[in-house]
This record gives sequence, structure tokens and C-alpha cells, in this order.
Amino acid sequence: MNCVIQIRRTCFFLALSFCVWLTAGCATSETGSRAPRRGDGLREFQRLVLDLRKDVTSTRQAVEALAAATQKNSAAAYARFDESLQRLEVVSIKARARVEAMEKRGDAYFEEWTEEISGATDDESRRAAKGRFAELHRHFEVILKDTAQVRQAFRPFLEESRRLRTTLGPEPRFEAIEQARPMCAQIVSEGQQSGAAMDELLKTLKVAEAAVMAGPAPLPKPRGKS
Amino acid sequence: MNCFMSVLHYDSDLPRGRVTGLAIVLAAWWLAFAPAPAKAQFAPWAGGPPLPFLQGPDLASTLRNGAQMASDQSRLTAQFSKDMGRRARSAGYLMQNLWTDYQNLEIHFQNLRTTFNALGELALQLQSPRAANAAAELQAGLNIISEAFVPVQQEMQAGALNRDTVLRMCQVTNEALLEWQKELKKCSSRLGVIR
Repeated sequence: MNCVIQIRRTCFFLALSFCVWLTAGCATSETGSRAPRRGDGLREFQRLVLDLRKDVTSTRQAVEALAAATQKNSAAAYARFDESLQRLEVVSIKARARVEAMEKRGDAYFEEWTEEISGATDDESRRAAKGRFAELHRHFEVILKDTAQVRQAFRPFLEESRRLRTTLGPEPRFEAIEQARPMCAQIVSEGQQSGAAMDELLKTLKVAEAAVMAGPAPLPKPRGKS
Repeated sequence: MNCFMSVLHYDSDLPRGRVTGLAIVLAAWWLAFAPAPAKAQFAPWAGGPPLPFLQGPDLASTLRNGAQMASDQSRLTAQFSKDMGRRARSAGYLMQNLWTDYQNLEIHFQNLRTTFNALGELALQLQSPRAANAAAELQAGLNIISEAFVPVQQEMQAGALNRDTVLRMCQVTNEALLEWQKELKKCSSRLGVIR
């Protein structure tokens, strides 16, 4: 009798473990992902631009400090500039990659954003949303235009900062830093322009986010290009 | 399955509990090894060389394998870059050491690109703008990271290599690849990878 009970128990656990294994398999065999939330892409892009904005300011201030350095503190000023530029080079990669991909793929980003905002809505909202598609696309076009401005303004700032570092070399003499003051002034001006372009883009992104969050969601366009 | 049940039911030599137990085990075996329902078909790798990572039974698991491999390779390349920088600081580091290290770093980076290219191609099969955009961003990220090699290449060609340039390349590559790896993890949901 004990033997029968033991066999029953073993069978039960075997069957149970099979069920668990099968259920686990089912849970991971589908292709898909977490459902995007309305405005996710816009918020993520704002965060990237904001991070880049901070590092551009930090590098611009480091160049200003380098230009104003005295013989006594020039080494420290240069070290600060070198460090902030290196950070900018790393931090900017994400934002630059996003901007390049957006410029290259254009409307595919709008499709992604409309996928996020169209979600599951009732028929009435869907009908009402049809009219908003054009309005949201206008926001998207402004974003693309501002993004191109940011790229155009940021590139010379980064390149000139790199050129300054190459010109000065490691552990530059104070005289070399003094001679590089006109170049520093140019970089500071480019940094300001780059910052202004980013501020404009951030404003545009905020307006677009408000438009996306308000009102009904538009219908997604039928997929063509991906 | 009913067939199994009826056979066991009429075998009067076996105790009733044992019959039920065996039926459950057989049912479980049948469920485990029965042919799975057809899944969405995917083209594994159209025409080109074989995938640089393990192909799974479906697109989801192949994407997961690819993402894992790209992540491992980016970490490996970042670590190699860091070690190279450490070696390059020592006084006994010669031009021939640099040349070997630089070539190895390029090979690691190229392997990463090959893996990610294959992953990006697979992600396109999802036909979702989210996945295609995420792949384009990560691809652009790798292109930008590769710019870090340019100053060293230029100095090598000019025959005036500066140790500081090498150290900077190593540091930037290391940090940038670790950031890229984080971004890959973050983008994995957009790429259609389920962990």
C-alpha cells in the first residue's frame, strides 16, 4: 500500500513539473515586447537632449575658464576642459545616434510615436482621432526641423573642441593656451548656439508631448515602410 | 490520449491509483513531445553567411540569442580596450605591442558590428517601426563609436603616433561601448526581444 502511495506521489510531482515546464515555455515563446505608452518616445528624446544640453554647457564653461586661466591655474583649467570634452564625447553618442537615425528614417519615427499613442481606444475616440493625424504630423515636422538645427549647431562645437585639444596637446604650456584664446572664443560662441538650438528643440518637444497627451489618439497609418 | 486511458482502465491487474498516475505521466509526455502548433515563419538569414549566433526555434529566441551575444561582445570589446589602455601606459609598451593590440581591438569591434548587423536584419522581420528605429539608433551608435579609432589611424599613417591619443581612444571606446551595451539592454524591448 505504501508503495502505491509513493508511486502516486511520484507521478503527481512528475506531472506537476511537466505542467510547470510547459507553462514556462509558453510564457517565453512569443515575439513581442512591453506595450509602449503614449508619449514614451517623445519623453525619451527629451531626456537625451536635456542630458546633452547639460554636457554642452559644462564643456562651454570649461572652455571659458580655460580662456580666462592665469599661469597659476592653467593646468587645472586644461584638465577640466579635457575631462568635460571626454565626457561630452561619450554622453553625446546616444543623442547623436538618435538624431542621425531620425534624420535617416524620417516618418518611421512618426509611425512609432503614433503606435504609442493610438493604443486601445474605443470606436468613437478612433473616429474623433482621425482628424488629429495631420495636426500631430505637423508637430513631428517641426521636431525634425529643430533636430536638424541641433545637429548642425552641435557638430562644429564638438569638432572645434577636439581641434583645440589636439592643438594644445597633453599638458600644454600657458603660452600655448594664451595663443588659443581666439579659438576658445569661437568654441564658446558655437557652444551658445548649440545650447540655443537644443533649448528650441526642447520647447518643441514639450509642445508636441502636450499635444500627444491631450485629446483622443489618432489612428495608426497602415504600415508600409519599416 | 483517450486510447491510452481506455487501455489502462481495462488492465485490471494494476491498482486504480497507479493507473491514474501512469495516465497522468503519459498525458504529460504526450503534451511535452506532441508537435507544437505552427508558429509564425521567419527567414533565418536570407542568402548571406550563417548567423553569427545560435539560431533558436523561433524568431523570439533567435533575437534573444543575438541580443545576448551582441551584449557579451560589447562588454568584451570594452574590457579589451580598457586593458589595452592599461598596457599602453607602461614604459615597456612598444610600437609592435600597440600594433597587435590595435588589430585585436579592431577585430573585436568588427565582430560586434557583424553580430549587431545580423540582429538588426532579424529585427526588421518584425515589420515594426519600433524595432527598425531601435536597430537604426544602435547602428548609428556603433558608427559614432568607430570615430574614436580615426585619430589613431591618422597618426599611424603619418608615422607620428602619440601615446596620449592611444590612451584617449582606449578610454572613449571603453566608456562608449559600456554605454552602448546599456542602451542595447534598454532597447531590447523595442527590438522585440523578451527576456
